[in-house]
Amino acid sequence: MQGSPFFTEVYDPSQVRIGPLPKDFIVGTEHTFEIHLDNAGNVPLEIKISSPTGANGET
Amino acid sequence: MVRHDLNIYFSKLKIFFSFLVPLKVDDASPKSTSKKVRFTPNDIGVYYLNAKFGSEPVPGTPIKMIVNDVRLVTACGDGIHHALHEKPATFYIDTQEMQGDLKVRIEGPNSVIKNTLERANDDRFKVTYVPVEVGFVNISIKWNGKDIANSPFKAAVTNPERVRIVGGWQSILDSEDRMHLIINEEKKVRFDTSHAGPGTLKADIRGTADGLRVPLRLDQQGAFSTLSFTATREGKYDITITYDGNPLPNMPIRGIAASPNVIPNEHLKVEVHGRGSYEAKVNEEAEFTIDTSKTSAHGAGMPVVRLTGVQADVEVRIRQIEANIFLCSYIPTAPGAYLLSVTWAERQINGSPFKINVLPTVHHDHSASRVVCSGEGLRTGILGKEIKCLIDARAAGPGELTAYCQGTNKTAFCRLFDHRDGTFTLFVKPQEGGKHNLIIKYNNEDVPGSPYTLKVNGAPDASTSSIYFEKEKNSIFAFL
Repeated sequence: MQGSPFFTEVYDPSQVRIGPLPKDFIVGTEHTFEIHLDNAGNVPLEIKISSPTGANGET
Repeated sequence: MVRHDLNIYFSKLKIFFSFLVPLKVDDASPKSTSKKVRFTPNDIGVYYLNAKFGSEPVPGTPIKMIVNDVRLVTACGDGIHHALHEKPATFYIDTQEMQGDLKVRIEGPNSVIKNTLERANDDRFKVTYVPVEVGFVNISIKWNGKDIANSPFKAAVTNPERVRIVGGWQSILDSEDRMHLIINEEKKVRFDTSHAGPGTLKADIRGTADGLRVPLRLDQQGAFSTLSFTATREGKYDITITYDGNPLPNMPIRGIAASPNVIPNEHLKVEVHGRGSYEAKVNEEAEFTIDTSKTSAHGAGMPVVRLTGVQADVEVRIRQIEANIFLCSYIPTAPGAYLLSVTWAERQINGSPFKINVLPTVHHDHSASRVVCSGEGLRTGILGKEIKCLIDARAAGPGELTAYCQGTNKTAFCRLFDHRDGTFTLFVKPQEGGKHNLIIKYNNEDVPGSPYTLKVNGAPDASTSSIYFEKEKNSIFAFL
């Protein structure tokens, strides 16, 4: 069959680990956190951070 | 990688960040499964972090992030959590370029610890202190009179030099500080960390040649930790013991693993003799000997002796007095049960560990001097007849009364009758005529007058008239 074999991407969003996030967020200060995708699968991750001065940006 | 707009893509990670906030992503190699995201919020207020993986939202998101403008004074550095006894420890306080009043107070369990505060730069202070005791120290950091976040901090002060080996280092090391191991035989080393402060003991054992780690087990029971491991190959090993992350003195220990002795059970031929191998008295020297003459390995090494008690270990002095005889002596300082372990060629000898009962020293209160003995029986007696005397121990307090009567050749029968009021009657029945020594002791001390000299009359031979005999008998009883 054309296109065969087909591949199915298996992924598990519950395996995505975000953080630890900083305890305090201070304006004008750079903050760092890590994202780990071990055992989560191989699909795109989309991170959005919305600021208080506007609604969500691009979705 | 820096973006000032939306949609950052790499193999798996796509990041949107609204409103032109600088954003950085580190370690963005396509193969990596970890990404470090940096961002700097420019506004005060509530931010939300949303994450989707594939088309599914990541559980736990959105994450609320409150951004404010309060700059916090923070403390960081190793010295805020850990310190070594009598060694300088440092940490830093970040004042975020603010002006204010900074106060640092450090207290140990029994001491206030002096600290020095020096300005490292405009917004950083360096704090140095030297803990004077092991245990936890409280570090209180106040900014304008208020504790900063997490203050007071609790730092663990440890001293790896105070980690003891139960039985002493000499019990596990030879004269060149090497540890002898026997291939395929489990080695156990017991550590006492009770004086080393709050920490965890860790060990690392590697073959010196191959660098391969030897599997090991550490069992902690209160302040005691037991390290168990088995060397499986002949050769050298490096043994490193750390306490709270700091190595003990003289690490690593060189371990040498060899095949077991050619002749097995040699250790079972070693013998221990002497009272000191089962009993001792406080503050008195006790002795025992170790006899290795029955082993075939003549002159091969020294026995290793270890005397351990509940409270403290006792140092045992070993002197070689003959080719195969070792004289051991020790002076216990506390009463109780002790274990005497004697090893020969790395193995416990037959019967080891021996149990030693250390008795408290008998208090010499001279109670015997208050015992009063009376009666003619203390002076004369008649052969074959029971003579008696009265012993009054009421003034002497509790104790042990013993009586012993010895003639020139034969021991007289002694019988004590307890009147249960502190008085006793002693019956003595001599078995021969002549002079007898009567020894009466109370708490192992002679009572006043003891030893008494008793003259036993009689020895009437068969031809002696019964009248004479009767007369003698009567005269004796007349005195009583």
